[in-house]
Order: sequence, then C-alpha cells, then structure tokens
Amino acid sequence: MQMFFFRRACLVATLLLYPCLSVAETGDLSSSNSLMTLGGELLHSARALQAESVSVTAHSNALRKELNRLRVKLRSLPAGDGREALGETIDLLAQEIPLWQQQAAELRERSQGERERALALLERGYRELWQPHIRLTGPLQLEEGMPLTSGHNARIRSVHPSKLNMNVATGDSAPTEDMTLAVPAAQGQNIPGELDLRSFQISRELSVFAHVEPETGAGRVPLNEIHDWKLILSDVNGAPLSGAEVEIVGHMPGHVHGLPTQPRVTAESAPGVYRVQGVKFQMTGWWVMTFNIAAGPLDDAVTFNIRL
Amino acid sequence: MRRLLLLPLLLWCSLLFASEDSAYRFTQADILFLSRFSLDALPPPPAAPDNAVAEDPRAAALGHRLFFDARLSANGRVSCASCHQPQKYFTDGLPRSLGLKMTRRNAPTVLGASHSPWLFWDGRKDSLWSQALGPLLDPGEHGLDGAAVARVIHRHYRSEYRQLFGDSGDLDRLARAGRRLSDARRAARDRVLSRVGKVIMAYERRLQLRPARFDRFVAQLHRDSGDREALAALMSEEELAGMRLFVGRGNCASCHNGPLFTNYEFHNIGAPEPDVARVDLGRYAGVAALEEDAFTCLSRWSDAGQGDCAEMRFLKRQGPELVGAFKTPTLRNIAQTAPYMQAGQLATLEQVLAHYNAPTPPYYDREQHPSRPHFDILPLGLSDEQLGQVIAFLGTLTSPLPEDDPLWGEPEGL
Ligand code: HEC
Ligand code: HEC
Repeated sequence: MQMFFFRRACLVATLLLYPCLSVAETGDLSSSNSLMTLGGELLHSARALQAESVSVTAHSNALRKELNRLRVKLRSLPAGDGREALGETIDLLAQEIPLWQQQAAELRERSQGERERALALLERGYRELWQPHIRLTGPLQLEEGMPLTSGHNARIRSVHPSKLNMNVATGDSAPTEDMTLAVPAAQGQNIPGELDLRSFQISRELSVFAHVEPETGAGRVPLNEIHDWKLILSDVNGAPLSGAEVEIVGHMPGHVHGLPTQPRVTAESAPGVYRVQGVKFQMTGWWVMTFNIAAGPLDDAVTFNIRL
Repeated sequence: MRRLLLLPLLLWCSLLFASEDSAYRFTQADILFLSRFSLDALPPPPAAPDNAVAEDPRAAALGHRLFFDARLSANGRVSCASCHQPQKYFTDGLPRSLGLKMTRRNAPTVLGASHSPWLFWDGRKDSLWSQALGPLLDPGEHGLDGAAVARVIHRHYRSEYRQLFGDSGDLDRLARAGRRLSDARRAARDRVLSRVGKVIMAYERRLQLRPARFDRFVAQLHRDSGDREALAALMSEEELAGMRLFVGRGNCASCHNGPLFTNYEFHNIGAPEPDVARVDLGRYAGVAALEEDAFTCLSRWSDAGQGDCAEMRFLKRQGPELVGAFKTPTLRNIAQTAPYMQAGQLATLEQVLAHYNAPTPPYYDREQHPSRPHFDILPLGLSDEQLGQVIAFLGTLTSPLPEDDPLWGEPEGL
C-alpha cells in the first residue's frame, strides 16, 4: 500500500510538471506517446483505487451482516450480563460501518477523478498521434434536419410474459413544452445526465484506445441509411493495433432491439485504421456501440455511447 | 331572474367551446410532427440499382398487364390481382388467400410496398422483383414453373419483352420443346423469371395513393391552423382524440410511423398463433430463406453493382428478437382491408384494438421455437371510448379510390 501511494505521488508530480515539458516539445510525437503512457498509468492507478473502494465496501457489508446476526442473537438472549456485553459490541460495530462506507465513497470519488484526468490525457496524446486520420473530435451527432423520432417504442422493453402485469404502459406523458401532442416516443429513454459521449474511449481491460467517426459527407450520422464508420485502434501508448478481429454489437438501453443490420469491419485501410460498413440506426435516442476486439492473446472490448 | 340564468349558460357555452377549440389547437411543433405522417412527406420509392428497368414506363406498362393476366397460372384463373384487388386497396378481404390452394398467410396490400427494404410478412425477399416470383412459382398460388412462365410470355408478350430487353433468345429457347434441363436452359429460365419480376416491380412502383382525410387535415394545418371550421370539416373531435392517443398514450406511432404508418421493422406483438401445430417463426425463418434465395440483390440476376445491396450484405442474421416477429404493416386504408394480422386472425379493428389493450404474450413452444419469442408491446389500459377513438382515427387514413387512375384498373386489351 505504501509503495502504491508513493508511486502515485510521483505520477501526480510528473503530471503537474508536464505542461512545462510539453511546451518545449510540442509537435514531437514521442511527447504524445509519453502523454498517453502517463494517461495509461494514471488509469491503472484509478482502477486500483476503484478496486480498493470495492474491497472497503465489501468489508463494510461483511460488518453489517455480522451486526445483523448479533442483533438477532441479542433478541433471543435472556437478560443478564452476557446480554449487556453483546449490546456494547453491537454499538461499537454500528459506529464502525459509516466510517468504512465513507472511506469507500471517498476512494470511489478519487478513482473517478483520476480516471477523468487519465482519459483526458490519453485523448490528447492520441489525437496528436492520429491527427491525420481524425476529423471528428466531439461526440457523434445526427445529421441535421433529421426527424425527432423514427423508430419504435421508447419505453418498451422485452418482458417475460409472467411479468406482464408489472409493466403496464404509463399514462399520458407530459407533453413537451411546445407540443400539445404527448408523444412518448419523442421523449426518448431515461438517458443518464452525465452520459460519456466521447468518441475516444479506453477499452474494458485498459489495453486498447479507440476512436470512431462516421465516414459521411458531413461527418454526421444519418438516420435509416446504411453508412460507413472509421474505427481507429491503438494500444495505450498510441501504437496502431493491426490485424485485429472486430465484432460489432449495438443496442439501445431499455429497448428490445439492437441494430437493424449487422455491421462489420471490411478493411484495414492503414495500420490500426479500420473501415466499418453496414451501420444503420433506425431511431433516435441513446445507442451503445460495443466493439469486441481480438488480436492474438488480446481479448477486449471498447464501448461508445451515442446520443442521436 | 332571466339574466341570472343566462350568465351560467353563457359560461357553460364558453367552456364548451374552449374545450372544443383545444381539440383543434396545434402548435408549430405539433404540425411539424404530424407532417412526417403525411403523404406529402413520402419520397419517391428508393433507387433500385438491382432492377435496370425499374423506372422504364414500357416495363411498367407490361408489368401492369402481367399483374392482371390470369394466363400466368396453372388453371388460367389466378392473377396477382386475384389476391391484390385494386377495389380492395390491393388486398382480397380474406383471412388467408385463395389461389390454387389456400395460402398460409393473409394478403397484405401492394400499395407502398416499393418503400420497404424487405417483402412479405417475414421479409424473406429483398426486392419487389424477387418477391413476384414467389406467388408465380408457388404450387398453391399461380402454380407455374419457370418454363411455363416463359411460354406465356413467349406466346403473348414476345415483342414487348424483346423491345425492353433487346432480344428474346431465352424465350425462344425455352419455348422449344425439350425436357432436358441443361445449364444454358436453366440460366435462360432464371433470366426470364427475373425479368418478369422486374417488369411487375416497375408497375408496382408507380402505384400511388391519393391524399386521405388525415393528409388533407395536415395540409390544412399548414395552410391555416386557425381556421377551425375548415379543420372540423376534415376531422372530427373523436378522430382527433384518436390521433392524439395513436401518437401518445397508445404508442402506436412508435412502430406505425412515417407517411405509410410503418417503420418496416420486424416486431412480435403477440398476435394469436394461427396454428400451434406449426408455429410461424416469422423473421427468423425469413432470414434463413433469404440466405438460400437465388434471386436476391446479390445474385447474378440482379443488375446491382459492387457496393450496392447493403441491406443484404449487412443482413442481421441473429438475435432473439427475430423469432415470431413480423413486418409492421402499413395502416394506410386499414379500415378497408380487414381481416388483420399475418394470417387474418383478427376480423375487425375492434379485435385488433382489444388485443393491443390487453395483449396475450406470444405463444411459446420449446419444441418448435429456437428461443422464447420476444414480446414488443405493453398493455395499454385504455377505456372503450378511447379504443373507439383510435379506430375512428384509423378511418381517416383511407384514401379515395382513384377511379380515373389507369394503373388502378385492368389494363386495356387484356
Ligand atoms: C393466391 C393469392 C395471391 C396471389 C395470386 C398473389 N399474391 Fe401477393 N401475396 C399473397 C399473400 C398471402 C402474401 C403474404 C405472404 C407472406 O407474407 O408469406 C402476399 C404478399 C405480396 C407482397 C408483399 C407485400 C409486403 O408488404 O410485404 C407483394 C408485393 C405481392 N404479394 C405482390 C404480388 C404479385 C406481384 C403477384 C403476382 C405475381 C402476387 N402477389 C400474387 C397472396 C397472393
Ligand atoms: C412494437 C411495434 C408495434 C406497435 C407499438 C403497434 N403495432 Fe400494430 N402492428 C405491428 C406489427 C408487427 C403488426 C403485424 C403483426 C402480426 O401480423 O402478427 C401490426 C399489425 C397491426 C394492425 C393490422 C394490420 C394489418 O394489415 O393486418 C393494425 C390495425 C395495427 N397494427 C394497429 C396498431 C395500433 C392502433 C397500435 C397502437 C395501439 C399499434 N398497432 C401498435 C407493430 C406494432
């Protein structure tokens, strides 16, 4: 643990110094590389913090279980000195739990902050490295002039028949401000406020960094039209990930349906630059696009949120 | 005393009008939203690179005649128009159709079909031209084989065929006796078949709908949304209430949307299983059939180039949502095209709405289904009055029969 904190302190110090270094070295690819390397390390440290928070939470849960067990025991105990002592233990334990919980929350928060900074660093380095291939730096967006809604049931999820009655459609949804028509489909899903819409993402196992963008005239996503995407894959230092096998899975959270087509990678136009064909979205809303990536021993997945 | 009575009466009247008015009040955003359901928003049918004669008027004229020609059947009595009758909006009014035998499914309309990427209830065809070969070769419908189709064309339409495709060598070859099916003969047969399909498709692509009351209502909203009288002459309050339910709480518009009131996707709404001894796997079987089909956009009979046929190349082959799913049908002219659902299981719109209001989950048979079918709708809990309103709204989607449109009648000289 000590060692770990020490390493992180070093990392943070380097980060603070970094702006000075980078002024001297702008445009130097190796600096972009090291930017990514730093981001990668920071990311691992964020993940370690996260793991720590999980284990602290587990500990606090174990305490609570024990506490419950003791409370049951207390209830069945006749009055006497044993009862008194047990009561004291219970009080002690009960005081411990919030402390552990608080620690878990703090760790989680630190981990999240660290992750954010790491991703920002990675993205900056990556964008410099891959600049000739990147046209889109913001989130993926719908082509202009596309209708509000097109597809199907915003609210409806697949239900097991036995659960049918628990899922009665909700009544009239409040009309949007400028409409007297109450259109549930137009109001979309329950999209979380802080959805990460970046088109630059790190993979689940932290081994691949990836970027996607639509290859259309306006660089935007059309509706109900089959079109191409570009997918750029690199390792966490920004080196191209070549010859990867990619499987594409898209779905809308809270809906029955996935993509109406089965897109796939049809070419690698330059090392690490893949052409994805057959992408089609039939409705607006929150889409999750996952790319399962296999290359040699590597087995990983990277996910993008899109809000059309 | 009288005055005292008059006041509440006046108040009551103004309240009444206020509520009526609100039924007819639409914001700009409403109007924009509704416009997307209007026929005015319907683009021309999508380009068809797989059919070189799709836009050729001579092909459409020939296709028109073939569509009505009962000589294209084993008993000389069945034409496409037997089951797709213009007077019934290109349906036949039967639960399941009658050709040489009874079909397994209900005959959907042909109107608007040119806009759909997939044809048939299960989408087992990827173009209208390939679709047309289905009934021709089905022993229960027209009951022909490829050579028999070619003989009819040879006998009655040789010169038209020749004008359109440059030569009639295939026809002549197939018309000559000879039972042996050489490769060349087989190729000639398939080429003739695909071309017959392509001219029929050219005809179907030209079929158009006249504006229904709903379309005229939306047009009036655009012209002058304040003219309550003009609006009321087009749609009643009941129909408007139904329209609001249709796009709103009924959530119908989540699948039945756009100018043709369909998203052309496949869904399972749990319509009663017509034959539990042989369940209908819907899209799941449709995808399997597409992979076997010799007349897709990717086949040698297609005129498409490299890079076309994206729908086929990126066909979605897997997914539990395919099981028992059917293509959302158009709701244009729906009040005139009973009975309903893929096998005509539901006789009336009342039954359809009763189903949506309290749907039965899809039938599931572990022996027959590859996986438990998904279920894509939820009970609505609408009142009888509200269900009636939705049905009333559906009535506003009926286009007038275009008596003066020659494409809607039997072609001359047949
Ligand atoms: C015996 C009655 C019958 C005849 C004859 C017939 N059809 Fe059909 N048609 C049907 C039925 C039933 C279906 C639905 C079958 C299915 O989905 O499995 C159908 C489906 C279609 C569809 C698909 C529409 C959609 O939205 O998917 C088209 C288009 C069509 N027919 C055109 C034709 C043409 C062209 C001919 C003549 C070559 C023809 N039909 C002959 C009964 C018939
Ligand atoms: C989840 C998508 C979906 C929703 C929501 C939906 N429909 Fe449908 N509708 C379908 C499909 C798919 C079929 C064909 C089903 C079949 O044959 O089994 C259909 C069939 C129909 C039919 C019969 C059409 C014909 O030609 O046979 C009518 C009428 C209809 N729907 C009206 C409605 C109304 C009214 C609502 C709203 C209360 C509604 N639908 C909601 C998908 C949907």
